[in-house]
Amino acid sequence: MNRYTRVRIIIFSLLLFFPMGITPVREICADDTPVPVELPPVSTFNTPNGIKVFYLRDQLPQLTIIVSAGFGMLYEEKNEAGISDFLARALSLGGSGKYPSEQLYRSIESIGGRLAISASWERTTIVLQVLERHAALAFDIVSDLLLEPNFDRQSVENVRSLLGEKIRRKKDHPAQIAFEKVRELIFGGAGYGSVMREETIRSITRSDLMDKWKRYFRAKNLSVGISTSLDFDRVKKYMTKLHALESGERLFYSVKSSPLRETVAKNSKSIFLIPKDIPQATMVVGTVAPSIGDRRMYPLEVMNYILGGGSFNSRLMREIRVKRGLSYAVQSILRFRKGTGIFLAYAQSNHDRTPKTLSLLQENIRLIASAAVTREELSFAKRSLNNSYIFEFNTSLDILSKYLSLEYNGLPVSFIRDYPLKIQSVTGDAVLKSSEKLLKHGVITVVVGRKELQEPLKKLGTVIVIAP
Amino acid sequence: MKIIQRTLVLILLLNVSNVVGDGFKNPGRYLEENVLTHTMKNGITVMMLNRGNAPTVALIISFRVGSSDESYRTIGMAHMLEHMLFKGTDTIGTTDFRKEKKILDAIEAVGETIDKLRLVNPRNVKIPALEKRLSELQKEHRKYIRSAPYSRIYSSNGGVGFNAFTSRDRTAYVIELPTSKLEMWARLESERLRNPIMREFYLERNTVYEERLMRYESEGSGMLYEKFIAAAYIAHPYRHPIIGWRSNIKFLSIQDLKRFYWTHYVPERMTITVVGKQDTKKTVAILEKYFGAMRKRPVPPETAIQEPPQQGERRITVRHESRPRLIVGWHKPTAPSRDDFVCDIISGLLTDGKTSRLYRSLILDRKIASSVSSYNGYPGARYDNLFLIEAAPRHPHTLGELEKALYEEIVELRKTLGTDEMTKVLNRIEASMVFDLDSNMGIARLLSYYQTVFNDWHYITTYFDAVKRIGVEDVRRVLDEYFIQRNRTVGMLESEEKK
Repeated sequence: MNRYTRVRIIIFSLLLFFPMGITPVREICADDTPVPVELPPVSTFNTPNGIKVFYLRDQLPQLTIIVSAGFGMLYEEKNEAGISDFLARALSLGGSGKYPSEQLYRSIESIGGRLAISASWERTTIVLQVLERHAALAFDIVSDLLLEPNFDRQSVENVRSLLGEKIRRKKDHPAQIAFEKVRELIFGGAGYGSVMREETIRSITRSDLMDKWKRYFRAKNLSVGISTSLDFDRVKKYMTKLHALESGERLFYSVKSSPLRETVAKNSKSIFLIPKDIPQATMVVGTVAPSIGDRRMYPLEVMNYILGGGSFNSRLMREIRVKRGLSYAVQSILRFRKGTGIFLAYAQSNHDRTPKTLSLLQENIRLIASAAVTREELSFAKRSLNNSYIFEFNTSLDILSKYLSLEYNGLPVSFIRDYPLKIQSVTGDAVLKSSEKLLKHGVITVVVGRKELQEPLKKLGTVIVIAP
Repeated sequence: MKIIQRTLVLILLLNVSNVVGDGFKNPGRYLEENVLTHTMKNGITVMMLNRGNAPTVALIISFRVGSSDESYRTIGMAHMLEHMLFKGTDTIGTTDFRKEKKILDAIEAVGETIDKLRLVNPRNVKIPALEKRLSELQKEHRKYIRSAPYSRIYSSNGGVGFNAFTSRDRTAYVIELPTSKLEMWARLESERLRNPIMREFYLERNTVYEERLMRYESEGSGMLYEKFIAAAYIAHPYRHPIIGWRSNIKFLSIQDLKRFYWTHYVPERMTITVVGKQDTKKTVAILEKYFGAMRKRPVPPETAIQEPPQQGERRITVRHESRPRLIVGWHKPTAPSRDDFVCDIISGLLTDGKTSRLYRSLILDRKIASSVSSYNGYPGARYDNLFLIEAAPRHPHTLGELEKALYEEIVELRKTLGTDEMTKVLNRIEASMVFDLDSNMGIARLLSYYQTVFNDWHYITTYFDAVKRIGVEDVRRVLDEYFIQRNRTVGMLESEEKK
């Protein structure tokens, strides 16, 4: 064998051990133990009347004020569904005593500011952003909105009309119809199941809005987040006008879970079909979940990641979209709230493939509640959740929102630091037990699609045709 | 993992808010002074901005190729390709490429044959047997696939926001990662572009079809926009939907896809943007190491088709089980024409904020609309485009009333516009430029967009100075020249109640 041949053999041998092209990228995480997380400095203080304030220094020459009041859709009774949205919009259009209606927006928009007032599930928020040099005006506006809200007749009637249109236009969005119906069925039309209808909007009066305002927009039921380049002492000084707000009390909604679980169990063998003549059906399933802080929260987060929250890494995505091309959008969602929670999963498929897609959705939900996840799935889910956690604190606004959320939910700051540790400690056994408990009553299923689906869907459950 | 752990602590111990330097006053100047560019020998443009204390980076690879680069045969191809570039390569996403390749070739041969036969005669007797064969091959293929390979790797290594999008002008691939993962990203992404393997093509084509149903056909507004653009543009490829038409998606060819890839994904059309905490010298070295090896290929020409001047109003109506909606669009030049800046101002005057003309008039005063918005530069910006206004009538008011009111307000704007309003709009633009510098990805998107679409990211740095020079007379002139009946297209979505 000549030297040239020996070299060729050596090279060939090396190639057998080192694959051609780039070395495949392996997952680096050999050690899954997370390091405790520490937060950036956020100063807090309470005003004399009980508003909790969070301050974060920002080097951009701007001021952002977030006022968060404990009042949202979860506080609504059935006969007042939509009132939190109504109130937020009415305040937005009506302004305040010193800055009514158009004057409010002239004051803000002429200086390049942004104001947004909106209601969500648990809170109504006022967010005002201006350049730092307009700080005095910004604090004056926010204070006046809280102290002297202006629910004038014209603004209230305008909002009523706008909400009427919003209700009519809801029917244009099949996914929105399906999600709303699932929530309504689980929660009996109140709170999480609150459905705004024309009759409820018509019945809300200015007096109703003022009553809600006086009840919920009081100091002890508010928290404020401020991100700015201005120094802390200056901010405290600007807040003194708000000391005049009445103290009030901390107010939360309450939800009794047992009746909800019974409702889910009772309806779990049914498929509620809402006819709509569109080529693609939307299917949503759901059940009630535990509230934030429940010890099952962490194993359920991991479960949700594995099932459908982990995007392309999840089972639902893999089985429905990647392997079979049945759907573009498919996901599971888990939300833990102060007094309750919700689990949802959904997919959208063309008419012909809807039964197959729904059957896969149901099958995978049954599987996660009855068989342990694999070690690889568990390890990967925990690692992914923990490694992406840092990006929940990407901006100053993200950090402030976290603090406001902690404050609302009565959770200590250590909750943020402990989250990755708690995720890391989740076991396969805990995932299975928590999933079993979550899903043991079954799920409520809603399909929005052509009425011809009634027949093929009968193989999967008792089909009940309903109106949206 | 230890690296990631240290990173986690660092990120949250330090102030994660944005550091842009003391005395920051002018976003344009800040970017001018701090964005670094580097052009590789093969033509790839790199932009870097070292900012922030948190050791994370936003990464965007953007190609100057979108649906406006497609022919009639390849409508939807840019978007389809974007989907396919998530499937892996000959080393990623496969358990044994040598064995897999044979099956892939067989799948391609059978799939192409089915498509060709079906196009001529959907009832061709050969098709069922071929479909059965395709299904068998796909089942066999599954043994060799590792699905969604990039997603797994990135998720494991702290990646968030891993995604891509296709527009008429460009296609972009985005992610945020800890800075320590920059080299891993460069290795993966350069590998992705070196030899992408179009596995699971026919399944993914089905998924794209479902996406089309979701975005365009299940909601009336999607159908309205599609038909509106096809009417506003009679020649230019801006008229085609990015996702493809329902009839042609099912016939997109894998061979055409590969040709499209090699023709359009060339280094000179590629921009890499890295924004976040980094050592820019190291960044350049890493990018050169992995992307520098991409070979130059001929740059495909820009579209030669020019949209002819519109010579009369066009009107289209779409009937759907949805609430009514109105879109009106006028043709106008794109940037860097001065008139494009003027149109930005007009958009601010008409619909930016509750004191804007159309919001105040149509929603607050007359109460005939439930929403109104405007957009300058639809559906793309590489070529001349449209100024768009969209509005939804409020029951019981009609589309006709709304349309009439809209034009009345434009006339009123022309008559009564003063410098106070202009100042207000400029103040909002200035403030937005500060607020929008609040995240790595926000800045990365801006830089990437302007460099890819206009071949010059400096557009951002000079933008505010350019709009400041626009006066009331400029607005009047542009309104007189472009916002006229013969130059507009009107799209109406009318409700059709089905029994």
